[in-house]
Amino acid sequence: MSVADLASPHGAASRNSQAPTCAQSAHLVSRSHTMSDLTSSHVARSTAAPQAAGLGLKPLVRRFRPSFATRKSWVQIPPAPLNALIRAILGRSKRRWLSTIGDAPRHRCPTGSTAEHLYLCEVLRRTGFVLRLEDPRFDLKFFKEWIAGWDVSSLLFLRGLQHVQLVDLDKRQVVGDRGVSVSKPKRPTVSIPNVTEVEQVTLTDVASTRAWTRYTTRYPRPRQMRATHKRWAKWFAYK
Amino acid sequence: MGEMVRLQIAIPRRPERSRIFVGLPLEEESDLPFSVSAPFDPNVDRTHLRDHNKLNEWLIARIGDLASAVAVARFEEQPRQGWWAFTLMWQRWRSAGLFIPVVSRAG
Repeated sequence: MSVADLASPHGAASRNSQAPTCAQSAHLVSRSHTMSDLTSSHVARSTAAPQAAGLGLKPLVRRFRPSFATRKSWVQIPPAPLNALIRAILGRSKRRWLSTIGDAPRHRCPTGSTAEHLYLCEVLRRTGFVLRLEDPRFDLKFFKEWIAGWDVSSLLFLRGLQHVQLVDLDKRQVVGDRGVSVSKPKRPTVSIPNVTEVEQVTLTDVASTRAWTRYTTRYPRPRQMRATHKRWAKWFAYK
Repeated sequence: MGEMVRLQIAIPRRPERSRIFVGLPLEEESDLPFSVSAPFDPNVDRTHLRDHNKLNEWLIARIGDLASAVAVARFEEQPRQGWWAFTLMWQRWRSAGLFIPVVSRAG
């Protein structure tokens, strides 16, 4: 796994001002093997049910748009807020970013790593995003409450991400933890037309006794049925 | 036929609120006893499913195939937990406020 440093969420905005000062820092660590789940979508915080809060940086931007990131920097590029954030802040292409994550040898820190990176890589042995935040509202307490706000069931159907921790790197202490442990897959005898196999796994909340049995299968999709955004993408490609 | 699509259901060990996911959860209401995930066609802000959408209708039908087959398998393997994969009609009525329990005893 590798460690990625998001230099400053204000990146685009701060380019116009003086050199950014790292007043605040928060550290999100995840057992993520790919970036696909984090970059794929968003989940908005549901006002009807507090437990229905989801995963993603979009809720942060919705609530604190003026100070968290400027509209110009990345808000305009849903539904991939983190991906857009990365591109806006670091100026890197998606391909380069993903290849950095995907191709990095496990448990090996990139060259030029700081002590924080080494701690994340070698001690925790997890993918980490070190967020240095300038706005005083986005402190460790804020992220602690943010992580506590989302329900662990948000992780049920993510392929690469099963565990997210918030780490106080100054104290070397985990202050927020949401995750599920996944059992070895089984092949139950389930008969469905046009389906060859079904996979069954048990997901258990690391912090409680909640558990789910997840069944996965694959169907051949009729060619004429496509999601609207994919149909548009194809149309624009022909144009 | 087009590409293969991944359909998933997650049945909780104890009954709890279910949700509809497109990888991550939507704000769509669901009274199913399990959560479902499929590459549905959501609206632009990815909070609800698009109505009258052929892809969504087809995926929901396939989810139904998977759920019914899983329910049968669970009845064979774990008969006590088999019911947890079912939505009973009276549960829907009760959640809609239409179910009024009536107990009558002769004599």
